[in-house]
Amino acid sequence: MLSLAPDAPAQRAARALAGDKAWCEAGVSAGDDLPPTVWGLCQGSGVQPYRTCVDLTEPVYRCSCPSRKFPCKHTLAILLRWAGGAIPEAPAPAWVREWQASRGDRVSRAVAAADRARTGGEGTGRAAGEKAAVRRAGRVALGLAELDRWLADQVRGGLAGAAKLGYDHWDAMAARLIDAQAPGAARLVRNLGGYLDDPERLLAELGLLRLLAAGFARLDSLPDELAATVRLRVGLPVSAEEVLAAAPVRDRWQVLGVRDELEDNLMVRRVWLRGAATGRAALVLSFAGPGQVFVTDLVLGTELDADLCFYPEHLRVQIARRHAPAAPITAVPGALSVPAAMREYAQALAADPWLERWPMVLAAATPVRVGASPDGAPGGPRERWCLTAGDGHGIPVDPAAGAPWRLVAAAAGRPVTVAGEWTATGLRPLSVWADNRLVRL
Amino acid sequence: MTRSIQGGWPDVLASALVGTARSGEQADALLEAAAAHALRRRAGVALVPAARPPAAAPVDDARTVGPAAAARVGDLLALDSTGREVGPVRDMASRLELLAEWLAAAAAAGRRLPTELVPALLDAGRRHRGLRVLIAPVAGPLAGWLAGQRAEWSYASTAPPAQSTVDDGQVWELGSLAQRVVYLARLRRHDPDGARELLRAAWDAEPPDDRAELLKALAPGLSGDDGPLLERALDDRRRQVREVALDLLARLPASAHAQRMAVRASACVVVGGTGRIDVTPPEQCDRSMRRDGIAPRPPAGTGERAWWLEETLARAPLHIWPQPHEFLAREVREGWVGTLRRGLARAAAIQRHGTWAAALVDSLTADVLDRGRPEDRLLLEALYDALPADDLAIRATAALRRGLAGATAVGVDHVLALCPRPWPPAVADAVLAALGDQAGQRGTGWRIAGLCELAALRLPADLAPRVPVLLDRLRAAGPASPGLVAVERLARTLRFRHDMLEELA
Repeated sequence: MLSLAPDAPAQRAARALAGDKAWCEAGVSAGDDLPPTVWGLCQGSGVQPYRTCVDLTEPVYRCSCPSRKFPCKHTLAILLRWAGGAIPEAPAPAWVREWQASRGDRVSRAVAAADRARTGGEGTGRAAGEKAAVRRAGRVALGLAELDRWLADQVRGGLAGAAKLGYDHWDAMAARLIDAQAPGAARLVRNLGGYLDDPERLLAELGLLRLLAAGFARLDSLPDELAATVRLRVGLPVSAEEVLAAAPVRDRWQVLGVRDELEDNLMVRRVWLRGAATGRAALVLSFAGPGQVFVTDLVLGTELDADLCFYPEHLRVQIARRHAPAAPITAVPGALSVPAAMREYAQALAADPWLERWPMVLAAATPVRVGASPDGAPGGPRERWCLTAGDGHGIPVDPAAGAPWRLVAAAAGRPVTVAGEWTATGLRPLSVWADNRLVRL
Repeated sequence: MTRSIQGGWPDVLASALVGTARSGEQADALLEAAAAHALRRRAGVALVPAARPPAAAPVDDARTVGPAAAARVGDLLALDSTGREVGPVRDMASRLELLAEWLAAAAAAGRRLPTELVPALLDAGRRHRGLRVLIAPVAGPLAGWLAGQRAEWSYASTAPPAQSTVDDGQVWELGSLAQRVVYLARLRRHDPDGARELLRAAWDAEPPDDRAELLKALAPGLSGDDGPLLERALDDRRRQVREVALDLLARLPASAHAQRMAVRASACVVVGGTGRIDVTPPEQCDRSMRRDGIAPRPPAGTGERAWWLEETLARAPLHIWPQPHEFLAREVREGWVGTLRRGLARAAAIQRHGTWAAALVDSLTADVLDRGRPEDRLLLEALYDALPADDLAIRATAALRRGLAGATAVGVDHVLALCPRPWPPAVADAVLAALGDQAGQRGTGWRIAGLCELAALRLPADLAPRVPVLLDRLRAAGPASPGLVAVERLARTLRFRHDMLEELA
C-alpha cells in the first residue's frame, strides 16, 4: 500500500494519520452502479473535513485537500485503515456517488473518442489532422536525410578522431533532429556521446542509426509491422485514441520490474509486466519532470486483471480497463531457461533492430562471479557477474548495474526466478522470486 | 574507387576507426555492414563460461520480519543516502543507534532480516564495529555464507581461519607489528598464560618500539600472574612501555607494585588516637617512587608535597583503608582534606571501585561547583563512570528533582548518558517531569534541547503516548515557548521507536 506513496515523508504522514483520531466518518461502499469505493472524512487544519475517496478497482483517488502530492497523505491513510480492517461497510454519501458518476462520464468520453478513431471518424477535423501529419512527415524526412549524410561523415573521417570530439558534437546533431520533430532519433544520437571510450559500441550504434535513416527513406516499401516500428523509433507520435483502438489483451498482468532512469531532465519510469496466461511482455512508461512525482500505481509484486492495448509493434501499452483490484503475486509462471530466453530475444531483435531493452524472466538461475582479477582475488576491478543455470555457461550481468549482492543474498546459492531488462551490455536484474515473494533488486 | 565490404567485424571496425576516406570503402555500406554485424552479435550473445555456483547457504527456518518492519529497516540501512531524512533523526550516530535498537529487538523476537538486506547490513558492520555483534542473530547463517564470498565482510565469517597453527607461528616470528599484535590478542583470548609466556620469552629481543604495543595486547584476561612481566616492563628505557605497564598494574590490587604503593600511602595517612586523620605528605620523590609512576613535578598551582601525596594515594589500592563512609567522615588535619579526597577519588576512578566512587562523588561535585577546575570536572566524570548502574539512576533522578539548572551544572547529561538503557522508570519519570517543569521557562532552551536529544533514544519507547500530553501543555503556553521544537523532535523520535518496536512484537 505504502509503495503508492510519492515519497518517504508522505509515507510517514500517512502512517501517522492512519490512527483513529483524525477520521470522523468512513466506510466502504459497493453496489450495481458503484464500483467498490473507500471513502472518509478526515479532520485537517481547516474547518471543513477533507473528503477522501478511492476507487479500489484501479485505484483511482480524489481528495479535497490542497496537497499537491498525489496520492496525498489522506488517501494513503484511508487505504492503510482499509487494509487494516478498520473501515466498516456503509452506504455511500452523495458526494461519493457524484464523484463516481463524473468519472463514469469521463471514461465513456475516452471510449467514444477511441471509437471515432477506430471507425475512421469524419468531417474536417480529421482532414486537418492528416494535413498536419503530412507536413510533419516531410520535416522528419528532411531531418533524417541530414542525419544520413552526417553519419557517413563520421565514418569517413574515422571514429578514432570522432571520439575526441566533445559532447557538443553529438548534441548539435541531436538538437537538429529535435527541430525536425524526430525525438526518437535525436535521443539515439545524443546517447552516442556515452560510447566515446568504446569504439565497438559507437560503431554499432552508428550502423543502427543508418539503418533507421535508410528505413525511413523507403518507408512505403517496408512491410507494415517494420514500417510501424521505424516510425516509432524515429519518434512519430501515436495518439492515445489510436492505441486504445487496438484490440485489447486481457490477462493477469504481473508487475515484475520497475526501473526509474533520468533521461534529459525527465525521470522515466519503466514498469515491466508479463501476462500470467499469455506470457506476453508489456511496458508501461511514465514520466515526471523536475520536482514532480510519478502518478503510477503499479506496484512491484502485484498482478492486475486488466485489458491492455499495445502500441503498434511495440511493448508499450496503455491500460484500457481494470477488472479487479491489484492482488499480490502468488507464483511467477512462464519463466524461461537461459537459452530459450535468448532465442525469444533474438526474434524480438529481428523484428525491431533498435530494441534497447527487452524484459526477461529467467527460470532456475543462480548468480555467479566470473573473471575475477588475475591474481584470483575477488572484488577486483575486473570482477564480473553472470547468471547461470549451473551448466557451466551463463549470461552476463550488466556491469553498470554493480555487483548484484541483493540478488546473491536473496537466492542464497539456490536457483531462483529472476526478472530483468536485457540490454546490449547484459542483464539488469530487477526482481527475484524467492521464498514465495517478489523481491525488488 | 571503392572496395566492397568483406571480412568480419574486426575489419569493419578497423576501417571505421581510420575512416573510409583512407580505407577506401563506401561509408554507407560500411555502416550497414556494421549494423548487420552488431545485430548478429547481439542476437547470438556469447555465453560466458561460468564457474559452478557456490554451495547453497544453510537452510534457515526462522521467520522473517513483517513487511512494515522490513520497509523500516530498509530505510535505516540506507546509511549513505546523505540528505535523505530517515526516521526522525538526522545525524549518523543517532541513526546507528536506531538501527542497533531495531536489530536487537528483532533478535529478541527471534525474527530474521529480509535476506536481500543482509549485504547492506554487512556493509554497515564493516564501517561501524558496534553493529557487528548484532548481525548474526538477525541474519542467521546467511551472514556467514555471504561473508565467505567477499573479503570486506570477512569479519562476519563463521568459517575457521584458513591458516593452520604452523602458519600462525610464522606470523608471530615473521609478521608485521600489526599482524603480531592481532596474533597475540587472539591467543590471549583463549590461552592467557600462553600469550604471556610467548611475550616474556621474546621480551628482550623485541624492538623497543614494538614492546608497548605488544604489552597492550595483554589487557584482556589480566591476572596476578602477569605481575612479574609488568615489573620488568617498569624498568624499560621507553616511557611508553612504562606507561602501559603502570596502566595494567593499576588494575592488579595484589601486585608487588600495589603493595609498595600501599606501604607509602599508609605511611602518609594515619588514623590517630583521637580518631582524627593525620596526614604527612612525602618529603621527597625518590627514584623508586618515580619508577612506580609518581610524577615528580606538580601542575601549576599545586605544592610539590601535596602533589606527591595525591599521586601516592591515587596509585595505592583502596582496600588498605577502612570502609569509605567511616573513613571519609573523620576529621582531617587542617588543609589536607581536598588533597586526600582527590587522591582517593582518582584511585576509585582508576580501580573502578563503585563503593568508593559513590562515597566520594557528592563531595567532589561540591568541589566542582565551588571551583570548577577542568581537571576536577574530568575526574568527576571518571567517578560517574565507576558508579554502579542503580546508583547512577538514583543520582540522576535526585538531581533532576532539584531542578534542571543545577542538574546540568554538575553534568546530569553525563550521568544520564551513563544510565542503563532504556532508562529505568524512575529516571524516565524524572526526565519527563523536569521537561514539563522547565520547558515553559525562559533561558532553559539549550538545556531542554540537550536533555531531549538524550531522552529521544534512551526513554523507554512505550512512554511515547506521554510526550504529546507534554507538548499540548507547552503549546498552550504560547508559540514562543523555548524548547518546544526540541520536545517536538523528541515526540517524533519516540513515536518512531514505539511504532518500530510494535512492528517487531
